Amino acid sequence: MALTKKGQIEITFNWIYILIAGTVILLFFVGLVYKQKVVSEEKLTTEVVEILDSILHGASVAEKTKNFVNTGGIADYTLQFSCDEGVSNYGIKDSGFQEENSVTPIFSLPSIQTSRLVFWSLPYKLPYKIIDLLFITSANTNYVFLGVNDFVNEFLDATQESDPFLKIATDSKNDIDEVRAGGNTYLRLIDVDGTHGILDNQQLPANLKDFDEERITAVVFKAAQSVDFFIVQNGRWKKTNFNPVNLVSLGGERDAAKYAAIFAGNDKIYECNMAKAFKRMQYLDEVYQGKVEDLIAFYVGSSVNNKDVCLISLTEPLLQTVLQRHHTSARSCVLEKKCGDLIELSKKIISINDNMESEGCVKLY
Amino acid sequence: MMTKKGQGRMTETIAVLFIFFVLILFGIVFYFKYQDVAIKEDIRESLASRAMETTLTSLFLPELQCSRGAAEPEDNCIDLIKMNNAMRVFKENQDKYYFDIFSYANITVFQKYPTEEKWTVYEKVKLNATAKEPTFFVVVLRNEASKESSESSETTFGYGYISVEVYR
Repeated sequence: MALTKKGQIEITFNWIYILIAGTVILLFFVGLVYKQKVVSEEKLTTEVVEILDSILHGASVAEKTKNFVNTGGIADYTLQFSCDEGVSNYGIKDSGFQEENSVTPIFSLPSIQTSRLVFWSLPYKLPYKIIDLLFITSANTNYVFLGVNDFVNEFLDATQESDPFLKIATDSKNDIDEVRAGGNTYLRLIDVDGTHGILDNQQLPANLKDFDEERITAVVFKAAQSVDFFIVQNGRWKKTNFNPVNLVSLGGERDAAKYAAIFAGNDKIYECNMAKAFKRMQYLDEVYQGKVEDLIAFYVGSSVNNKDVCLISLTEPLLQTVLQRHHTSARSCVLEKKCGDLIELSKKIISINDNMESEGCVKLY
Repeated sequence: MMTKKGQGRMTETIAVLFIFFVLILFGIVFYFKYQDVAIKEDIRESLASRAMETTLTSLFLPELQCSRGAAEPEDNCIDLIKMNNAMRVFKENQDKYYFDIFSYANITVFQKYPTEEKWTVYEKVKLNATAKEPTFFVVVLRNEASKESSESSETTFGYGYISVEVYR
């Protein structure tokens, strides 16, 4: 039976109608899926940064803690850490969403791509506790010491953990030529005395030439409490700091400022984050100055036997003046990167505090 | 001129289209309602999490914590002499430093023993706050300059709790 003209139009119209309606419905769902994909990616980025922020918070308030976080879905993304003008920024590279932190000193490599992040916090004391310094590293970063001394042994001991998830990969070699790239993605060399050939413009040894340049960094500890930071450019070591970077610490075990230099990717990250600690130091100095005033008033009105001895400890040498100078030096550390006699003043505060303790007085800290 | 059969088909098509769009609309409304609830839940969780973080921060503040020389400080212990001075320092530097630590929050220390006392350590109330999340934590209060200490040279300890309220 032959089709009529009317029937032909109707069938054609139906097909066109189905095609248009189908396309519209398809486009609607494609749009919905695409929108959902963008939202999910943004949500994942935000969640990861929030989890990081939460972990940073937890790790930075509890002393000497180690934590880890499996990066899971974002293991293929690169996390970026930077610090500028006393404010740290961190987040996923090129994601647009970055978290800021102007309080917690965060020391890490500038970029990390890993399946597991490790967080470690150590208290910074000068001489009283100022703040916890937070170190961020990854399961795929290897810290190789060049040379051996007590500090190296202490660091190697401190990084050994029974929990494999908290373990930080470390090694110790006598010579830079013995270092092998291995399976680790990032390599951090730590020259403990500046005698292992890491010098500005020096050729990279042959055993490290195959390694991705962006993933090798070095820190060189020199005498007189200072360090130099190095990156690799065109097969040569390049010093990132113009002037030696000072380590402001009292030394001893678990020297947080020295540990921070090992974890900080470059001089900028190190100095910018240490500045946060010096800023906090000024406020703590003000609190302790107030405590001294209160203690003097307390002993003046007290009838305890050691009242006179305690008043002498508080006023000779005038603890207030020492604390004021400590405050001024901390301020100079932030503003001019010159910490003056901060170490000497801290030692003086320790001496006064020990003296107060031995006399049975209320201690400053 | 349309036939009756044609008119019937047209009505049928319109009815199908109507039901289709009603279903789509229903789906969209359901989706956005679900998103709205999920966002509200996220915001509530984030406020609770911030409350816990702020409490944790307050408990470990070097400005408040009981120090023991070079040894580790005492956990959950507040040095009252330091706290009295920290309150002034927090107030003087609230906008330029401590807001970055506590944000909009109200931190109060309550002493329950030996006497009942209350100190407002930090206060930055959000005027148009839509929610407030309080958390509490028991603390020991060390007072090395109390009346008793001035006679016997012994440190007195009290106990109480720290209340941290955060705003959204």
